[in-house]
Amino acid sequence: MRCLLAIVALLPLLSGTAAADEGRTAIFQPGTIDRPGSYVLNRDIVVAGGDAIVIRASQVDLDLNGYAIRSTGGGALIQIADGFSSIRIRNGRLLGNDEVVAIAYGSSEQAPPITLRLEDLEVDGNLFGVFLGSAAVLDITSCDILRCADTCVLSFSAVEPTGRIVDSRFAQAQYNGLHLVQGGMELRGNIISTEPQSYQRDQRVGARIIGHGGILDGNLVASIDQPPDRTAGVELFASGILMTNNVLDRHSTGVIVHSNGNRIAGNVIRRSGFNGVDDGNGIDVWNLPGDPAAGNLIEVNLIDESLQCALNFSPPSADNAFRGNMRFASGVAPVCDGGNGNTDAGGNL
Amino acid sequence: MKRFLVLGLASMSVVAGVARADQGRIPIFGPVTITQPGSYVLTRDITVSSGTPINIQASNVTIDLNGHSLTNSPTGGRLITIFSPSTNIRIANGRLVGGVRGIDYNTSTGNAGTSVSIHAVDFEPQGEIAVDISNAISFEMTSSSITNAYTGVLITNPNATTDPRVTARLVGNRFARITHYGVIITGMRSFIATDNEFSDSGLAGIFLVMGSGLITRNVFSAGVALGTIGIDLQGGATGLVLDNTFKGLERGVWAMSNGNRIAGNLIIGPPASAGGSPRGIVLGASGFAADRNLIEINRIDMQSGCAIQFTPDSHDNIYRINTLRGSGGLAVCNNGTGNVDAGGNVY
Repeated sequence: MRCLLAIVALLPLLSGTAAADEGRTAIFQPGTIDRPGSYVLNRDIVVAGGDAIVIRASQVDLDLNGYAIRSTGGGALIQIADGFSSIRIRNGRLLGNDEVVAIAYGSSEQAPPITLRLEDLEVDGNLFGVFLGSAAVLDITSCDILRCADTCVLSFSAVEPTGRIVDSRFAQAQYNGLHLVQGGMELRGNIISTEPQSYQRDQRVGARIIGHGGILDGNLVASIDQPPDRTAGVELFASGILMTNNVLDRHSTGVIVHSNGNRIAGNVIRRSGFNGVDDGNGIDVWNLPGDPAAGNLIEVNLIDESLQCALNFSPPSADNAFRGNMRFASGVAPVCDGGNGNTDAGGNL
Repeated sequence: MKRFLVLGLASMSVVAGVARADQGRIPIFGPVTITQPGSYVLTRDITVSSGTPINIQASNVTIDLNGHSLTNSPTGGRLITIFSPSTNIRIANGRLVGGVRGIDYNTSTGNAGTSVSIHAVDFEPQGEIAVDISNAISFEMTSSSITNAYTGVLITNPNATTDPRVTARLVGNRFARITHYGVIITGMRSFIATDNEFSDSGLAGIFLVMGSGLITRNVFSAGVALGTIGIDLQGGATGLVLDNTFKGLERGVWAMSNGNRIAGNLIIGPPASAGGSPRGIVLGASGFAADRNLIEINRIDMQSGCAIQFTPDSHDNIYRINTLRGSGGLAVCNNGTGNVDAGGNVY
């Protein structure tokens, strides 16, 4: 009898967990995961504040099992402590109240970079859907992250992570849909929308990409009419980005390029500036201090209904080439070139 | 002791036909009305001859059909009904057989929008519409199939111009032998259709009204060519139609809207013996303008009719670098104004 009591006492290894079928550990209340393993939520969890689930272990697979973690206060729904990596979270809902962060990692950019994989999540009504202070690999697949009071995915990193963000939706971001410091990520097949709620004088962006390299292909990026702030579909601070076959609709400016050596091709960019706020360029190439916005190739895009210019090169953007683009119904001119050495390489219509 | 046991069992069964299952998922083993959020799993096939086997009257509900089937008689009703204002509904992994509708959103109790996600569900056959989500905030359907329905998917929302959440995504699905339209998307702000297969849709594979679309890498084919359209863009629907294949349809792409880029598609027309007036790509229709579209890098092979037709209501469109050399049909039939051959076309 004494032995039986001892065994029973050992079974709940973690607060709020118990052994479940298939060898997975069941989670049924807020708590901390402090050992590697496979965990499964077996009911909805609701907290009034603080962190609902804290992960203090690496090699953790957390299956939300169709259930939800919800908070009515602040904190994080899932907080991953500094230094823990190889985390996979999938198959459920993370529901906030505009004050919480759904998934958070990294107290600073100096935290050890995490490898994080997110699949089949529905993340609704949070301040940030995903907030990473430091990432090495970020994979987001088939997730729906919406009603973000700030930014849906915000990833800083000193190491410029790689990874994929595919087949997901980032909707109603009040600030940015995606704000990524990255070093070669693939963004493909996503729907991204911004919806600023209040006038803060800042540019709101569907996807703001910082770093080096990467692919943006086949994404659909939209904004709203009459936003209180300017919006842009994509803003590239990153060099060496291949941006192809995206649809960008109804922004103040479709694409803003601050960086060098990007190829922007085959995109459909429409109704830039027709949302009631200023700007109104389809593709706007303009430098930042120390970055001349040079050597970009802009080709075979359809840029329709730009309030100002289909292509705008601000001084001193330099040595960019554009060819084979089709530009229609531009309010000022098809090309407004205030830069140096930007070349019409032919075939533009 | 017995009284406590009875009380305990009663509290576990929140809803008729439901009890606690492994890993906390709630099993469904009979017709049920779900009134609480949670994760539900079907544990056996359910067959009814009338009524609706599963009614959903709660938000944040996940239903794993677990490889099982819901079956109704051909005129019996719905298989799953979602009642307004329920939202955030996910349904996966099973079969919906028979009935007039597979999944239906009922707005009779209000007009709140809903978000619905469907994954790996096979529908066959539904007498009316396999999936009908009126006033959708978001809709996603992946890796599913719809066979032998009148209409495959009908998604609507009246607030597309004001609500950017209003989006739809269809990826990796198969639509076969649909009497009317494979997919009707009207009023969604953003729409992605990728890697889907449409065969033998009676009127059109995709009928898109309003919003921005990204329609790529889909396959459209028809056994009976006359009257069939691959992609039908109307009412301000614009976007990118890229790298799709069309075989044997009377119209491959019919754009009655502005500012589309139609590129990289392979369109093979129906056999000349099919008759009719086949077209590879049609711009405009009587009373429906199609302006400022870009048609490029397509391969269109027509045995009869025209590879590209510009109707009198089409203006200022551009076509270039298309291979339009057909096996009997004409290359370009231009009845519009300001439409430009920008070079590189092969006739």
